[in-house]
Amino acid sequence: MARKPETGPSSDPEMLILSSLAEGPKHGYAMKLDIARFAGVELGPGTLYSAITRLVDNRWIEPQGENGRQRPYRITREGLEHLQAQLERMQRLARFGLRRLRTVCT
Amino acid sequence: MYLRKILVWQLLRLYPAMWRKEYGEEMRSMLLSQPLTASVIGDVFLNAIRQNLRRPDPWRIAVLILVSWRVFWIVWASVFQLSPEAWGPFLQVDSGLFLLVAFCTGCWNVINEGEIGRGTVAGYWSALLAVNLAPITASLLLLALAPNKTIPSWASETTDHFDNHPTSFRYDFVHFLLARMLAAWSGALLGHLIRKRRATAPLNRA
Repeated sequence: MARKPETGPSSDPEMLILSSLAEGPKHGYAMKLDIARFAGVELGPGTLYSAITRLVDNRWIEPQGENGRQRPYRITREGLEHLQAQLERMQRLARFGLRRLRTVCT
Repeated sequence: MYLRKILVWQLLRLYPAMWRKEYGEEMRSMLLSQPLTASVIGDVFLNAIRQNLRRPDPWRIAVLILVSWRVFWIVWASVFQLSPEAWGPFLQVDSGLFLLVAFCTGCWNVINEGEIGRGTVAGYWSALLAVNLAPITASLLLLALAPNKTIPSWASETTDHFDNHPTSFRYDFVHFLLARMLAAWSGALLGHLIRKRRATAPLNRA
């Protein structure tokens, strides 16, 4: 069943797909299962394929092989660079936020 | 299972043709492999709207222009209580736009799907859709913006049957049917030629 993704950068469908594909090429259904496993977010088919469309348009992922029922996608070099930049940004933000939280709590 | 397949097919039809060509088969197989709950249908529906806004089919733009044009004129005529004589310029542009919608839809459909018959029918239905959507949208707009105004009877009759021309209803109906069918068929033929040309282009280069 499709669950509405939680808000925040860690549940952004594009980031989730890129993170899933960082492991290796996957088709849509495999991505959906992988994302549910590692992030606990279940993307609806419309959300998943809208995000895939945007990622392909941005050349961050690319389809492998002909159109068909289970076409795998793989992350491109630009996609990896984008993912790394975004994750580092999130890491900096998380570190900063946690440090502030600690000072407030103590 | 049969109903489910029809529902999935209908849901996918909401997406632009170019998008369906690229991702339709994958999404169809995903939708058939999971329960079609209300949230899944809602998700697919909302993202179809999003894709239509991102990459609209040219025929959808043509239908939108036609509907907007008609709605504008009907609301204008209703608010300012225009006389039937003032309807002349509307009719001239209106007839042309209808034929354009039928032509564009026919052409676009055949370029993408390859069947002249289906393209012709799609062209005809898109023009018909635009005809019926406009008065409904205009009525809703009037209800919201100027509830004390109503669509003048001559305006609604004109939009329905071209009744301000001194012709019989039968003639109007045949005119309506043939003109749009012919426009849609011409568009479909052009689409067929474009598709054929595209298919042979790489061979010629080789």
